[in-house]
Amino acid sequence: MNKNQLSESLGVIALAGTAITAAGGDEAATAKFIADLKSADDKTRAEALDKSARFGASVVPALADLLGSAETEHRRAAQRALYRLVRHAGRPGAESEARSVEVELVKALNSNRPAQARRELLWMTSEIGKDLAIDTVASLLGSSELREDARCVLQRIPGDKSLEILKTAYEAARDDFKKNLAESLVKRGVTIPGFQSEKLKPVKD
Amino acid sequence: MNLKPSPLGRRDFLRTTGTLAAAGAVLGVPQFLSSRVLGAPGVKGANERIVVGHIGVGGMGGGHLQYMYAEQNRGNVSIAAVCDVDSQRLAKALDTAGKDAKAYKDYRHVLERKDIDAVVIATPDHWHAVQTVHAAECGKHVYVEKPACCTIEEGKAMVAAGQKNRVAIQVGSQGRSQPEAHKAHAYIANGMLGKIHKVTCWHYESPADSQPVPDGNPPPELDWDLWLGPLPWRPYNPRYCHGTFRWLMESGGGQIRDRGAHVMSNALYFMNADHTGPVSIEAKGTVPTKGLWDSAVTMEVTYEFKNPDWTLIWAQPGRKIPYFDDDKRKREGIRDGYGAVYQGDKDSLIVWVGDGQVYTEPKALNFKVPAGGVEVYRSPGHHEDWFQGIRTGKKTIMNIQAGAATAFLTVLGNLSLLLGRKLEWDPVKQEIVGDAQAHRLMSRPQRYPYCL
Repeated sequence: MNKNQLSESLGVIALAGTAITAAGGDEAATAKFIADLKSADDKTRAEALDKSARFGASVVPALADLLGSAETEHRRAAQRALYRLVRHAGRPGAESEARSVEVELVKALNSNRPAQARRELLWMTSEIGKDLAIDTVASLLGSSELREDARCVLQRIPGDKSLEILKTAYEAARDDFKKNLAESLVKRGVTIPGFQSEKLKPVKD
Repeated sequence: MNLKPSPLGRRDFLRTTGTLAAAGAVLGVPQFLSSRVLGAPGVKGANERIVVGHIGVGGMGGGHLQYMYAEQNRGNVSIAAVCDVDSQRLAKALDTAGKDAKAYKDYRHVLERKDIDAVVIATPDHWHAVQTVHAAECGKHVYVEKPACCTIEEGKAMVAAGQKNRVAIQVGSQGRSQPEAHKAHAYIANGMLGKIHKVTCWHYESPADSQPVPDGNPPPELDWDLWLGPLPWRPYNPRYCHGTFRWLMESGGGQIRDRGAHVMSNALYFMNADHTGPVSIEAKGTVPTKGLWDSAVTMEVTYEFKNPDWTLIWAQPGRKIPYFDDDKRKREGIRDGYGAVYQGDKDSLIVWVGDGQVYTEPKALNFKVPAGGVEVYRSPGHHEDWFQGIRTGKKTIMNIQAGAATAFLTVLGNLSLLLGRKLEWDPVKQEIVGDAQAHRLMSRPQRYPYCL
């Protein structure tokens, strides 16, 4: 991936995101949904959670915001709802819905949300992400907090593009992360001459 | 699979013990003679006294350690090492294990020791597969707590590691080794129920966290990074551990995994179905909407098997059937909050509990196998069956193929619930078909270097 390719890729993402937001757009319904998810009432929260899947991609931005909340229970509510939504979108025969959600997840990843929120978004992306998500995930290999999660996500997303990114990242990686990337490549069926996993080497007392 | 252990010859023995003695002298670590070496005169040794290391010594791990300590006093085993990521638990375990045991935080120190024949793994579920595979790769026999694995990939890796390294792996679903399980098994195997078309399990609900607490710093005695191991990193929360890990999907998975690994293990065993699997799995249920725990509170999972056709149902809570003798229930503390009904075309049979306790109906208890009837294996005890497997190479009663098959039921049940849809499963290839997302979720990439 080079800069031009990345810009082009993000441009596609932005366009797709605009279209979905416009199509989805019932702000009042989204606001009520979010308020219900945050409710102190068990029944209200449960009913809102059950509606998560129905809202689809349009509520991902609001849920991603909530995922970065300072309030623990609000973060947890957002996480539950996002996973419910991602798992519904990933069902067989719903490819366009899955791609719409992927677009929103990628946008949410390209933000300054707290690292733990983006970590969860990364793992959600790992469940349905395809080529569209890969450049953004790859960019997080440069984050000291998120690189290990990003590596795992690239390992999980099938296809040539994720494999090529892992190879490129392996070639460029510093020593302190090279073996992690090698492990992913081996899991993806690549033979790396001389690589020996340190999985059996004790590192603590 | 019939394991053939490869005991060392005398030349290997001399070379090994010489090396060990030298290494021990340098490191100051007490060295034991592995059970693979010849016993010294007057010492219970060759292929009799098994040298064990314990990885994870709280909860069930503490129980295993006490059992092994008693075995050590009987001269059957030597406890060489104890290991835990919690220094307080480790100190307590060292007191229990005796003066010759060495304590470690990192389990890989245990695996490095050539004098250790076997390990008992009683860590949280998310560690089971990684540690079992690593132990097998180091030539150790393994007793691993149930459920065997958290993902399909993990289970397959455990089976492959056991076969490749020719070690005995026993999974801690000890219900199969209980006396009344033997009775129920014999009754069913001799056709007393006719053709069984349905097995219905019941179990009380998983808890929800009614008093959540915020994330915080781990206590000083806990190595949080090592506790997480293969899992993605996240902040510590007291609701993760100890023990409560089982109410989280990624590290436990709720009652269906904790107790389903017992009750459904017995079902596969009695149905002679360890080598098979369902063709479809469909779950429904309710999940917590507050707190850290995310395992299903209530759930019902329907598994359809083909050739022969039968249905397995995991129902939480389902329809509880109280144990028939209330006085005995109180006297013996029978935990009848879980069990299973085996429904055949001639009769039905109830089997209560399913773990360290197994109880069944008098008609099965009083049953005598007729001449020419089917004699089913009678386990000498779950640990003893494992020892037998180590010494003789005989397949253990809850071998890793059976352990993985049982764990797959629990994994697939949870996966169907999480995805909100029915899953199709190829029991021969052991993979989900027709659902790309579910197929991805058959594995979970692990943090390096805590990986398979």
